[in-house]
Amino acid sequence: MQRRHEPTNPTAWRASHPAAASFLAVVLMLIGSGCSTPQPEPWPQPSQAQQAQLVQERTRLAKDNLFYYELRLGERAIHLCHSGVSLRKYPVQTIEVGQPRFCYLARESDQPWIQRTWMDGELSPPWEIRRIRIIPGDERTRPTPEVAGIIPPTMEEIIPVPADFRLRFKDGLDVWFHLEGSIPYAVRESASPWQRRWEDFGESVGFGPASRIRLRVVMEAADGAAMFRSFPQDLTLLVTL
Amino acid sequence: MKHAPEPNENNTSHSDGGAMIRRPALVATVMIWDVLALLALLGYAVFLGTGYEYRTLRPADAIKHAEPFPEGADPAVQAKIKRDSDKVFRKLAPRGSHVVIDRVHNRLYLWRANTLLLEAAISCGAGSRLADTKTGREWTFDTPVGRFRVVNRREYPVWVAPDWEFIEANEPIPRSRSARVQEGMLGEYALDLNIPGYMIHGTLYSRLLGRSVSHGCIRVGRDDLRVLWRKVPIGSTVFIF
Repeated sequence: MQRRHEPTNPTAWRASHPAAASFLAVVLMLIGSGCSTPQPEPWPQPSQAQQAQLVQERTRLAKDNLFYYELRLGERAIHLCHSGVSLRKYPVQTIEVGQPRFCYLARESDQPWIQRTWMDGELSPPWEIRRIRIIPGDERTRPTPEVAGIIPPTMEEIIPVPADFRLRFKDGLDVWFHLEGSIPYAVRESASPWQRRWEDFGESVGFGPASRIRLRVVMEAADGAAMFRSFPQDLTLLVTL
Repeated sequence: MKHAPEPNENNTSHSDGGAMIRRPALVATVMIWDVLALLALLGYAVFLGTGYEYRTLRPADAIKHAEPFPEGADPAVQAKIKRDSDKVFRKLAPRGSHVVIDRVHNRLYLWRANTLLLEAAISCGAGSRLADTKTGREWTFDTPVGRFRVVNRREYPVWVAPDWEFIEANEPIPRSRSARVQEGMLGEYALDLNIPGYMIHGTLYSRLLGRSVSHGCIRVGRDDLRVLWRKVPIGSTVFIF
């Protein structure tokens, strides 16, 4: 059987049905405009007064000769800083604000928590390092083994990171971190979701120290783990617009 | 003619009498269990509905939760804050190039203002511990964290091995200084920091760069060390985190 080949002109239909083509174009445009993602709300620019306040806070922290973190909400990033110099940036995926609720009724807090410094942050679970005890004469435990075949661990391998951890600041700010994806190198077990829910329940109904402001920060696992492993002893956080 | 006995709930002699008596008790037990189950469900619902509710931080909320700074509205106050801040940052800002060391990830960054001049794989402290059983002395091989400065630069430095080097190798500690001197161990250059005993230097173990294998010093590969030697003068700031 011989197949008959019919010559086709791709523009023939369009040329023969101009009205239908324009109708279709209008419909597609309407659908397209309906499906487009809404423009995100522009992030507010700090006023002159707020900028001055921020400068004042940064100056005060820079003078302390300590490491501190800056959570820049608009930039969606946490910066590790010292003496006013940003040493490392850790990108953040999402930032959510937690409101305590009882029987599905949430209470909104009106306490200011942005453009201020939060001191004496406590890490939970606490940072730990699995230190190797050197046995004199044992090449396998020496920091720099002379034997070529022995590969000593890196800091990433001896500082395990949990997928969920929190920073609790003395004056009532709680920042929960959740790491998305697989954590590079040593992993530490996080508290079970039920345990966390039970703790939240207790805090919400008034047992234990309730966090007045609670944030939930989601980070990519590599960034979050890098930040966790670099936490200094005393944690200070400046939250900025 | 015998009649079948009438059903009597009080007739204990009846063969079903036991069941008759137990039925109200059974009903009560079932009711109690029903009430308990209902209460448990209610409690569970309360538990689920109590805790914290998370909402994405919206720009409008961010402004609402910013710390008020009424005095900052005054332009004179703003100008004074700016003047004071400039003074502080002029004093604190690193002059010329500065070095940033990420000891967890064994990376060194050389910056001049906001320009990255060099990124290098290095070796920082292993974090391991050594104890001398004879004298009770202990060492932890961590790289210190904080802000430091380069206080001395040496070409073809020699290393005077401390006691721990011999204890670690299970060798007798020499009494003379000359027996401790080792040439070539520190590479071509050494940049001494303002913490006694700690420096940035070269290494014979370039295969271990990128791993935490030192006794606290910062080991750098030959080519990267040459760049540092050219660009990092005495007085340069070194941030280690």
